[in-house]
Amino acid sequence: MKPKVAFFDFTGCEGCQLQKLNCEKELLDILQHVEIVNFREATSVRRDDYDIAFVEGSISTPTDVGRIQKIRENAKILVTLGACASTGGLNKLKNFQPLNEVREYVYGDKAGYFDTIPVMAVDEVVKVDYKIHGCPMDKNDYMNVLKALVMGSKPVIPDYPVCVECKRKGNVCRYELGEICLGPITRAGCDARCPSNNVACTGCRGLAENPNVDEATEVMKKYGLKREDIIRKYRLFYGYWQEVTK
Amino acid sequence: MGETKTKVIKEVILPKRKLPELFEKLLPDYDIYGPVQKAKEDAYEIAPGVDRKTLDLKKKLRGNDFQKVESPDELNLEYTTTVTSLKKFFLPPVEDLVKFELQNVKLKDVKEAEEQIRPFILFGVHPCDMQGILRLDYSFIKGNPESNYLSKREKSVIVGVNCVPDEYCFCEAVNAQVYDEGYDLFFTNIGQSFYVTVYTEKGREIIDLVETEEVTDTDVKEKQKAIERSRSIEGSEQFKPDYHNMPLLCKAGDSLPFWDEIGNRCFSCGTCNLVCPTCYCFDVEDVMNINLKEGARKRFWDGCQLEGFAAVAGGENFRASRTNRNKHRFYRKFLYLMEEYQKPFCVGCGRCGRQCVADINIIETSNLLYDNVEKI
Repeated sequence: MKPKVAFFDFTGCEGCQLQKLNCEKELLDILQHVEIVNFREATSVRRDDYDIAFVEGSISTPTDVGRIQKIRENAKILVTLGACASTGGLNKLKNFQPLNEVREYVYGDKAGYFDTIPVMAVDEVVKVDYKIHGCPMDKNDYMNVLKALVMGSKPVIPDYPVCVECKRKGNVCRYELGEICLGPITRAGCDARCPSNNVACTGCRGLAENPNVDEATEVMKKYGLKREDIIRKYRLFYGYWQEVTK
Repeated sequence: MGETKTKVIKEVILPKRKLPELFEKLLPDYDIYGPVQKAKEDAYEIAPGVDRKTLDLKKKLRGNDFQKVESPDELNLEYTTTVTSLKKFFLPPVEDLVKFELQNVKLKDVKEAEEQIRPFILFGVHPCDMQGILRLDYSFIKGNPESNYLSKREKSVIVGVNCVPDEYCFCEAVNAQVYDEGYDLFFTNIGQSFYVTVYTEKGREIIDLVETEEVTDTDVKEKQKAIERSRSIEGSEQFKPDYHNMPLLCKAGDSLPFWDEIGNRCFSCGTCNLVCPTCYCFDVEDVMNINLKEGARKRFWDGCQLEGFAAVAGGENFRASRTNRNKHRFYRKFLYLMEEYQKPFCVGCGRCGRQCVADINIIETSNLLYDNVEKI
């Protein structure tokens, strides 16, 4: 019997869901293995009898909290898709500003209608089984997790820094080009996409396992960055890790 | 291949203007790979507002890498080093070891990964990298030959060229500046021509494809001068220990506190492992195609500096601290494998030091070990 899967979105740009639909070559194969029972962006079917829930976006309103708890109850396996859901992603930037100001900035005089809470990654509210990282998530990463789940094995999710993939590709280090790159402390799995396309890593996949953030700070200082610039770089995607962003 | 101390078959002079003709004659039978400058000087201007002085922190690697070439014009033969070492030709960053087919979740068929590799020439190999390849040969061919490695190595022809060293090069200090071991041909750059030393029959076949000139006394002198200029004196003089003593030093200095200072700086990013010509560790993973019927057993470059490298089932990690992992890598170069191979498994190419974002330098580590053991 095919596992039933569902896709849900919370606070985010839905870019990760789009990435799934971008798997055009593989879509038909995927449908051989799973039955999609809930996917707002792609089908009108709405059922709650799913085995695997893929969740995109961060938790940022009281309504979100109730919804994600319900999804967790229904699903046997819950997988987060992309930075917003897995680490809070860019949305965490909100938490560094007063909540009321942020709300007014977005909704103006209607702010009172919209309740808001500090942004949380999904695992701050419910148990998450597997996380697919990245902003947006990487197609191949998603496929690997999906394949593993369908086969009943444990997905392999890289925990080492981006440098590994950069070196496998033979890229010239961004530091050597005089740029600041967060690759040495950022989780790999993107196949070093940005550095391979001439852009330094901004850390979208969150921190690698046990990252040496102190050394990263030292190196950036050597390259002429001030402390506040460094904190700003960390806050962009590492907002979920208070130690590095305070 | 892999033979030690090769005899000189003959020596000739190849004018540089003949190089295009030589390439033209070789290309029907060989793929040619050589050093190409990927990041040109102007790439430094990519980053706005960066002070050139800060760039000196990251020295002059300038992004050369061995790439496939069609003409000698693409080559930068006066290079210092390349980003990746030449192991990528024999032990690719990612490769299929076998392909398999499943039926009802059971193994139905396994076959060798089909590989159609043409014979290839590595053109412009420096002595340190040649020594690196010879050490890989030892690891992969001695004992039980590893067929995936061997099949590629057998197809390779190696043309050496003399180096333009910088302060990170210390091949001489580890006895890796060797000109008569492993090459098919060695080209010494003597201005308008190459002084070509032929070491193998394969090399002779290649050089005989074009008209060469006889060696004169002046050429011999020019060659000696060129080799003298290629000595890695600057870096080698910085390297304080006598390399023969490295295993002893490692054992004596195992518990010294300087290792922690190095460990504290390390990112555990594996860069030093992956760019190293003699680090050969890999991981293996079975990857299924999306049809979930066929798949391949893939081999990836791994590195002992990565946190999960020595982790095993149950969550135990045999080298959980960065200090231990750094020590381990150093010992692989100067203790464990050195005691077995009788030569250091570090060939002094300096890639690890040049490319380490935290500026951990193997010369500096060796000196710290030397200085601190002296004090005991």
